[in-house]
Amino acid sequence: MAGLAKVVLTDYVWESLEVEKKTLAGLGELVALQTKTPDQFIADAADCDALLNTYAGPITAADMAKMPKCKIIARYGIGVDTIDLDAATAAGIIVTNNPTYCIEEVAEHTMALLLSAARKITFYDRQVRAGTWAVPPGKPIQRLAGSTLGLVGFGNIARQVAIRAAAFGMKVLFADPFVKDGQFDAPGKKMELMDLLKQSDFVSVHPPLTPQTRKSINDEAFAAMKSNAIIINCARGPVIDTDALVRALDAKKIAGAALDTTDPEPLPNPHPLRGRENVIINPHVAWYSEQAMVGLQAGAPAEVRRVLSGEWPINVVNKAVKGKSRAGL
Amino acid sequence: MGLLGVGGVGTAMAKRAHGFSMRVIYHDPKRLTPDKEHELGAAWVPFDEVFREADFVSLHVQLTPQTRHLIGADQLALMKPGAYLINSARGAIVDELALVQALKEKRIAGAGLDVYEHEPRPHPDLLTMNNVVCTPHMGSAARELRESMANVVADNILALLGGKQPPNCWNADIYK
Repeated sequence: MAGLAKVVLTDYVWESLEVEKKTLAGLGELVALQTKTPDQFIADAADCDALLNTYAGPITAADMAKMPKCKIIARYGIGVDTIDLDAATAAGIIVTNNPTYCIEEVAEHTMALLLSAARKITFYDRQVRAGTWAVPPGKPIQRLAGSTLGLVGFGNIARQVAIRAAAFGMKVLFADPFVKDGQFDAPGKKMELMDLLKQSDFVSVHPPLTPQTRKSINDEAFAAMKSNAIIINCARGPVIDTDALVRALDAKKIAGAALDTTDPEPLPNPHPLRGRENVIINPHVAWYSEQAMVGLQAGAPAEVRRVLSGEWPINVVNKAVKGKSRAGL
Repeated sequence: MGLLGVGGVGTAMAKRAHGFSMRVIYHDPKRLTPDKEHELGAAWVPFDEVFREADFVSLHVQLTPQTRHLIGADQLALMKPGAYLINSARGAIVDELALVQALKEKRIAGAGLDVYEHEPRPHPDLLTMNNVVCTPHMGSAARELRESMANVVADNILALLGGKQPPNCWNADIYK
């Protein structure tokens, strides 16, 4: 290849770009931006050979049409809901993700939110700091051992949650159209979604965000849930219909929510989900640990390196692009 | 995970920690049998080693004259700078002033506390720290458990009134 390929990084949340520069050395020149939407990066990316992407999106067919040389869009994270995959396939652009860098972290965070909600840790911590020393304000608390956790989606992360929940003596159910009962070693009994919602004391959602899962936890879902149930979301905010969640909390159809992801993000202030004693909100941090950060930063640039050196990358999301990709792969 | 004490709660902690793929070490003056250790998946280490090695030190010992201030400045100084101290047992097991000092000087990463040396008044500095979680001695709060605790107390009183040794008598020597 004559000269270096142009690799545009749309946005990033880490301090140093040494990993990117080292990974692309000899193959690509890195142009690092801090943008939020395609209209902010497209001028720089119009002649790019590869796009590295953290959050900036959504990346639509129209955006891709403005990057006629782009061979790969490499997402740093797991979810690819911000990228039009069909359009990418049609354009011959390979889309990759990084599906394993934070499995433990998100499973741990899910359990931490579950435990905080169940044991009312954040609630009591606020009370104690404000000078109130009393158990009754947090009543009722039910014993976690023997309670039921319903996992919506049974992918890598949900199965790690299942293992942790089982160690706490919880019964685990799951609903996932793509997983058969007994397909994996992890604890969990397969159910239809509505049956799972009816039986679970905790409902944790873990599906990818797709047209089918968008707002799949809606009024009907909340109506099916137990009145003592807690909903947990460490996946993608729009999996839950936010307005329906607010209605369910107002009507006490469920007991609370613990959310690492919201719709929209960041959650506006004020917002009806804020200021509630039975709602825990974290700012989309479940993926983070110092160890995950290393894996996060290494994944996407390595995929770009592979494509630029004529190799088929490891974590291709739109596999249908094989054989007709611009990269000639 | 470093457990100080492997009675009922410490044992339950070990089981849960394994679910999180943690390595579990413990110290208890009464070392478990090899079979029990195997079942628990926990390796016995000397007292100081719990503090030196663990990323999380969780206390599960009773408060006795011997265990009062069992965790003081010396033990906290052994802990890793990234380690957390968790106390849901009894407040006075920890020298709270020494803990406040260690937290202020960032000699440990943080603490999770359900119990304090002088309840209901945690050291005021604890209440303004971002690396501390404080709950009001409610580790046992669960409706089923509070009911069963009340039943245990009632059973002990009924046994006594019936002229029998209460089932949970702690100073059984009195019957000798």
